[in-house]
Amino acid sequence: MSTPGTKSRPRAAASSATLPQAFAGSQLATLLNATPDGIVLIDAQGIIQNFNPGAEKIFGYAAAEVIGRNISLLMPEPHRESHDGYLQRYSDTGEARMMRAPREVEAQRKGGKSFPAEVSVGEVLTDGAPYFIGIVRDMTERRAAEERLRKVEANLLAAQTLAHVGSFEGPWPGPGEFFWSEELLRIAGLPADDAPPSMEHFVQAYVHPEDRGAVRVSLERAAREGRSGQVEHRIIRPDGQRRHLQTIHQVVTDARSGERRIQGTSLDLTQRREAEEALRRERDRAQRYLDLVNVLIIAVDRDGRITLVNREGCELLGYPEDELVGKDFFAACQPPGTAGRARILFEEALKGRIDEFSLIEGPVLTRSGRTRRVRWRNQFLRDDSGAVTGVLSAGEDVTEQRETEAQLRQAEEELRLIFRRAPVGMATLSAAHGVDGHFLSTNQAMCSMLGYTETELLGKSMRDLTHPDDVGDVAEQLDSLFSGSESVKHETRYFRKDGRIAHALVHHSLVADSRGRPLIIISQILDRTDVVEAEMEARQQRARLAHVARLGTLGEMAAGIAHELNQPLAAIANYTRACQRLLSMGEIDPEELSDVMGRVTGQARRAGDVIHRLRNFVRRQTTERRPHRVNDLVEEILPLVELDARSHEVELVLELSEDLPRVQCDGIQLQQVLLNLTRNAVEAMNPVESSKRLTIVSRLHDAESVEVRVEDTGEGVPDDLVEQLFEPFFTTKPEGMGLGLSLSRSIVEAHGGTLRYDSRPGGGSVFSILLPTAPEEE
Amino acid sequence: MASTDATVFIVDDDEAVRDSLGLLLRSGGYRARCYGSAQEFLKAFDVRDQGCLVLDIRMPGMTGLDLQKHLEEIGCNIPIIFITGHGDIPMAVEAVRMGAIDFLQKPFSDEELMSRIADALDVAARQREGELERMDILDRVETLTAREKEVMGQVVQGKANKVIAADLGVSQRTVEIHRARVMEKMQANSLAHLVRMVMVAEAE
Repeated sequence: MSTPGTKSRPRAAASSATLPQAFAGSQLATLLNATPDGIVLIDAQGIIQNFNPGAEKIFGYAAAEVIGRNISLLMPEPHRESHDGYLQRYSDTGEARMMRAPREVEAQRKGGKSFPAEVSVGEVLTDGAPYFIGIVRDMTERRAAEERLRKVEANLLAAQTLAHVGSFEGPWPGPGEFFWSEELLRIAGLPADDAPPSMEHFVQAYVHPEDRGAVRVSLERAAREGRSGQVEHRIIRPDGQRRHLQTIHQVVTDARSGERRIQGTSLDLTQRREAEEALRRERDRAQRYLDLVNVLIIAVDRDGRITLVNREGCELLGYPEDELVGKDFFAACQPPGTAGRARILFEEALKGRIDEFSLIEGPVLTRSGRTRRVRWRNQFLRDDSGAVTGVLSAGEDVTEQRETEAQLRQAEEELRLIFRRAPVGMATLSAAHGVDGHFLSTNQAMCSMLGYTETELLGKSMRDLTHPDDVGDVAEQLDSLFSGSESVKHETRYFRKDGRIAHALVHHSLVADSRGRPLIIISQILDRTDVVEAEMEARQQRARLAHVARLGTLGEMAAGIAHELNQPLAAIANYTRACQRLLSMGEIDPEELSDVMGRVTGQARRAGDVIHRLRNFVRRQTTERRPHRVNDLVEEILPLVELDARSHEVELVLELSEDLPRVQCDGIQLQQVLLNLTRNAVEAMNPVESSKRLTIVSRLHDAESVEVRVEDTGEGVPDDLVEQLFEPFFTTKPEGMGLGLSLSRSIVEAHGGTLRYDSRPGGGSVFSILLPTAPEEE
Repeated sequence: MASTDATVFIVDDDEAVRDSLGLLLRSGGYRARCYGSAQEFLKAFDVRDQGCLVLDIRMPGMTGLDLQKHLEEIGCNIPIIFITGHGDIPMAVEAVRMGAIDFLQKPFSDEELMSRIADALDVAARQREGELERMDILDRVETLTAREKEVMGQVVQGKANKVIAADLGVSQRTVEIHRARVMEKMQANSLAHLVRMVMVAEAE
C-alpha cells in the first residue's frame, strides 16, 4: 500500500505494515472509509477493534454496535467455535493459520441472516500485541450471477439439444485439441467419449464430398477476412445417415498469444430440410394440381392479402406469381367501382354474417386493366383451433360464358320478338298427340289471322281449328313429319273465331329430343285468305270478262253478219233489177223469169237465215236472269270503260246512287248494253276537242224502275237522225255496223225495260236505260 | 250499147252475187263471164281479151287486191271495178289508188253499175286504140335504117340539120336526105307529128 489513492482493488493478501502506521494517517482512514470491502480489525481475543463503513454496509451493524464485541457475532453458529479455535491455537502455538488466500465463508448479518462472503485475513503487530485484520467481500451477488450462469449454460445445452444446434471451438487451422458440444457430437453421430475431431479432420471425414469445397472456401474466407461465415452443407455420419447442417463460424485471434482459434455453431437443418422438401413436394404436387385444374385458385389471409395463387390465376390476372402473392386482392384485383363492396362482403363473411359467401360471382381486374367475370367458390381456411385464417377461392372465368349467355339471351329475345312480331303466323304445338296436340305458343299474326286471343288459342288443338275436310290431310302431313320428314308444307283451311274460313299455307317442322322423340312442332302459317279470295275473285272476274269479251265478239260477229246479209241482199237487188230491165226490153221469157224469181227467193231465205243466226247468237248470251245491283254491274265493267276513256282522253264521272233496289236481269247482257253505250259515247266525243266527259249515272227512277244513264259531251245526234237511231244498220260512224243500239234496245226491252235517247242540255247525248226492279226477296 | 267485142269478167266468191250480176249485165247488153275465184279467172283469161273486170274485193285465198296487183305485174291493164262490202272503204280507196276505175258498195243500184261498166269499157277501148297506134308506130320505126333512126333521134330533139351533120360526121345534104326518108317512112305530116309518134313509141 505504498501508493495510497490507487484505484486497484485491495486484494485480500497478508500485509506486514504496522497498524499505527496503517491506521494513523488520514489517508488510510479515507481509504478505509471509501472501500466497498468490509474491513474489520480484531485483537488476539477476537474482540472487534475497528469496523469500517464498508463492513457496516455488509453486516448491517453500526461500528459502535460491534466494536468491543467478539467477532463471532458476525459468524453463523457452526463457524463461531472453529474461529475461536483458530485464535486459541494462535495464542498457544503462535502458529498463524491465517487465510492468506481469500476463502469463502459463511457470514452473518445483523438480524441473523447468513450470506456468502470472501474473507482474507492478515496479522498486524502493534506495540508487540497481535491484531488481525479481515477484509470481507459480500459474495451474494456473485453467487447469484454464478448460479444464473450455470442455469444459462444448462439452458444453452438444453437449447442446443432442442434446437439441434451444436457448437465447437478449437485452434485454427489446427492441429490441437478441439471442443465439440454434446449436441454437436450427437448431431454428427460421434461417440461422446471419443476425442472430437479437428476442423480439418471433420471436413475431410464427415462433410459430404460435394459440399467440402464450399465449406473450405467459407472457412478460408472467414479466416482471411476475420469475419463470421455461414455455410450450409451436408455431412455423412459414421452410421451412414446424412444430415443437413448450417454452420456459422468465425476465426478469432488471441491478442495476447497471437493464437488463432475457430469457434462456431452448427445447426441441424435436416428435419427442417426434409420437412421443407416434403412440404415443397407437397406444395409442388398441390401446385401442379392447382395449375392443372382449369380454375383459378387464390387464397387470401384475413387481411385480404393473397397467400396463394395458381398458374391459372396468374394468367387470368396477368401477374407473375411472386408479384401477386402478398398483394391486397381487393386493391389489386378488383375494379375500382366494386372493390369497396367486395371488401365489405369479404369482411362480413369473415365475421360469419353472410350465408351466401360460398358461391359468389363478380368481376376481377386484370393487370392490363381489363375486367373479367369470375364465379368463385369460397371456403374458409382455418387453423388447428378452428379460427378462420383466410379464404380459399376457386374461381371460374365465366366472362365468355356470361357474354355468350347475354348474347344468347339477346338472340332469344330477338327470336322471341321475331316470333311474336313476325308478319307470318307462327305457333308451337305439342307433338305428343299429332293433330290433337295443343298450341304451346302463338304469335300476334296467328291470333289476328284467326281472330282469337293468344289465351284462347293456347287451349285449342290443331283439330279444333282445322276445317273438317282438311283434318285428314293435316294428320297425314304430321305423320309424315313424325316419320322423318324434316318439314312438311300443305295448304289448309282454318275456322276463324267468327266462323269465316281462313286459307293458310302451313309449314310444319319438328323439334325432337336427343333420342329422336318428337317434342314440339313449329308451325309457320301464312295467311293466304286474301290471295285465295283474290284468286276466286279473279276467276269470277275472268269468267265475267269472258262474257264481256263476247261483247267485242258481238261487234265482230255483227260485221261478219252484215257482210253475210249484204250478199243475198245485193244478189236480190241485182236479180230484180235485171229482171225489170229484161222485162222492159222483152228479152226474158216467163220461164226464165220464174227461174230468176226462184233465185231471188233463195237469196231472201238466205238473208233470213243470217238474221236467224244473229238472233241465235244473242239468245245464246242469255244465261239467267236474277236480281242484280246495277252499281255492281257498272263497277264490273269499269276497267274496260276506264281503259276506253283513258285512251281517248275522256274524263269518266260516276254518279251512282247507293241502296238502289235490285233489277231482275241477265247481268252479262246488261253489261253488253252498257259497254255498247259507253263505247258509243267515247267515240261520239272524238270530234270534240276538249271537255270530253263520260258520265254514268244510276238512280231510282220511280218505285218500280231504276235508271242507268250514259251521258257524253259529244256533238249529239242531229234531230233528223234521232228517228232512225235505233233502227238496225243505221249508223253515223264511218265504220259502224248500225247494229249496236238496235241490239241494245232489243236486249233492254227483252228485260221489260226501255232504252231512250235524249239530247243533253249543253251538247251531247244521253242514253238512259230504265229497268224494272226485281220483286223484293223474302 | 257497147261494142260486142268487149266482155265483162265477174270475179266473186259468192255464187248468188256473181250469178245475179251476170244476169244484170246481160240485161244491160253486155257479155259477162263469171268466175268464183281469182285463180279461176287467171286460168281462163287471155291478156288479149277485151273488156273490164268486176272484182269482189274480199275473197278467200287470193283477194281482189291481190289479183289487181298480179295483173299489173304481168303488164295487163284491164280496167277494174271493185265491189266492196260494208266497211271495206279503206281497201277500196287503196284499189283506186292502184289504178282501179272505181268501186261500188253493196248493195248498189243497177244504173250505177251500168255507168261504171260503160266507163270501164271506154277506157279499155281507148287503151286498145292507143296500143294499136303504138304498135303501128313501132312497125314504122322498124322500117328505118340505123342511120335514119340516128337522124330521127337528133331531129326530134330539135337540132338543126347542120348540127346533126357535124355530130354524125356526114354532109348536111346527107342529113337532109335521111330526114326526108324518116318523114316519109314514119308517115309524119309534120315535125310535131313525128315527135308525138316517137314519144308514143318510147312510152312504157
